[in-house]
Amino acid sequence: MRTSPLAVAVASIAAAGLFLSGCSTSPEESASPGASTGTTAAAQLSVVASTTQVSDFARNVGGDQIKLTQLIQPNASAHHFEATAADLTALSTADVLVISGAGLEEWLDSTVTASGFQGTVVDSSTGIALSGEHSDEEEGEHAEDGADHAAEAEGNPHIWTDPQNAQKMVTNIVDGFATADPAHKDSYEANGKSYNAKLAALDTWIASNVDRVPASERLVVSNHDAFHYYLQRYGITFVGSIMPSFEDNAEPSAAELQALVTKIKELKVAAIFSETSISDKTAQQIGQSAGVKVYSGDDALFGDSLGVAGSDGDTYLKATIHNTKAFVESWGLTADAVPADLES
Amino acid sequence: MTLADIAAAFSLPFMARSLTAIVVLSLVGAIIGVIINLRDLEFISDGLAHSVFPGLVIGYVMAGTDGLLIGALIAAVIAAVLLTFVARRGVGSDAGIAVVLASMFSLGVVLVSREDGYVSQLEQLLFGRLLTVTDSQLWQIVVVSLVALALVLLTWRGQVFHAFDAAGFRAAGFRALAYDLVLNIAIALVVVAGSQAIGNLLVLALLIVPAAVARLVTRRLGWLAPIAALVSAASGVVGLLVSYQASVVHGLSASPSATVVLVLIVVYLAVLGGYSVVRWCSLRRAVTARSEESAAHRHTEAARS
Repeated sequence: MRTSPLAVAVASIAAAGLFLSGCSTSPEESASPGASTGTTAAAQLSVVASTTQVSDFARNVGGDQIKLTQLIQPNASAHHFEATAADLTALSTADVLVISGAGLEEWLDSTVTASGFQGTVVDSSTGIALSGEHSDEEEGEHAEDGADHAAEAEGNPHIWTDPQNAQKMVTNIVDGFATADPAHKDSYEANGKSYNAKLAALDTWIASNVDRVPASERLVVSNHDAFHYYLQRYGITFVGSIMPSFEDNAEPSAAELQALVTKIKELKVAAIFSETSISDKTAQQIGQSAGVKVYSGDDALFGDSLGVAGSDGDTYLKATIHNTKAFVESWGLTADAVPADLES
Repeated sequence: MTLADIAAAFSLPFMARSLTAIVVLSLVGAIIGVIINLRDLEFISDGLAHSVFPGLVIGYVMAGTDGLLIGALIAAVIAAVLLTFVARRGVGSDAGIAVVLASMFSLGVVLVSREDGYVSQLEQLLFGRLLTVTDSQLWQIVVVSLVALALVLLTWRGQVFHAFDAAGFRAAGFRALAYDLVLNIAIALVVVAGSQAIGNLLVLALLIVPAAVARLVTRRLGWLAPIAALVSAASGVVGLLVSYQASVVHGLSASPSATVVLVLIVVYLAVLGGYSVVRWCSLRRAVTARSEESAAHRHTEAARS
């Protein structure tokens, strides 16, 4: 028996046509890539920001003057990111790219190169002294990343967790925006100033709460070492982290887990903290072995990323207040009422 | 999506690079895939894909992204030689291939899991990052693919002969071992070329599916490679566009390389469906014709008696 190739082809095309017509989109809603800035570029500064935190800062500084595209999604890791076509398209026409910096965005170079981004990079970590350890030991990768990151890749990259650092980041963003868009310089500076006032109030509020706890009792075990600057700023002792590295899915070895459990029991740590961007499986396991409370789910800390809109941590201010309340509560106290001007 | 939209999409630098990468890979993969299909070497191709993986890892560990190519190339040659000999043992060769496949892949996973932050690296190596292919990676893809293509085209007639008549092939004085080696190295090279862009595992689809489609559409040898290449390249372009459209217009991030593979599979299923319908119709026709024939035959018999 034989089948006619023509008949097979016709039947196949008919079937494929049926399938694809289901997927096709109406041409009206498909904006051409250039159009996103074509109409608004004259009025608005086109900004792409990497992490949820710097996006929040940029939104506060830029207000209506900027058109913001945020790369990292809420509750996602900040260390790893795969750009979508939409991200790369936004980046290809953006005026300014705001990054968190300090070696956090290891995916940055390939993403920027791929997109053909022509604008200015605003590194919000400029001028912030780094400390702690950068867990990444892959020398090969960094050597290849080029000299511009080599200098800043030393130290813990989660700089924003200290509100004082956050203020510097905001100032860097203000300067970056003002340079890229001098026409709205005054607006950026005014916005930055009022937002930084809030950050200063936040800093005061946290300090006054943490200070009520004896220094020896300020102990934290977190999922990964994401709160280094926060802990440092308020004199909190970091007992250890569950994850040996900044990798979201890394698994600690049995020996590492055991050592951590022993340490928790020894120091009488009251609770361990999971993060919203990371699975809490290992944290639960340790909590069980050590017999301590685990802050996970809605109580988990906002570390790498802020939460989704409407959650307890959808802005930097709210997320930091949430984290502080969780810490203070784990030490057996209840945090003071939050100043009214921070609630917005 | 109008033609102008499509042109605008592909004029973005990252889309242009992705397009070039996927078109080159699908053309070369489809043509080599025809020989794979004719010689039933799908499983050995899978073995080669997995065996290149530890090479990628070692290259990455030793020299970062720049080490990927050299590590993979070395692993590709070793794996091709190893699998050629394993497969020649004839009896139980599938088991032998499976052992090589599993051991090489495990070796790769063990090596990569010693690295910090390995999960995302693993993901990148297995599934590729089509959209962030750099210029130098693109050159690597083109050069390695062309070498693979040249290896197969230069031995094309012998490979086809071998596929249809292995005994005659040897009797005619061809050296089967040399042909097997060349083919396996070519397959491994396509895997190497595709690994960084569409991933170590998904590249297999580009080798196997287009040729399978072509086999359904035509029974003429000369048409196999052109049809496979056309199907593959068209699926590449459509898949890339679908994922672009999904991301830019609908805000759905769909892995472009996986979308390309899914489009290929949809084409395969559609062709398979079409083929089955046509085959069923012609079978029915044949049955009807035969029963009419035999009825007529009985009739004459009856008349004669």
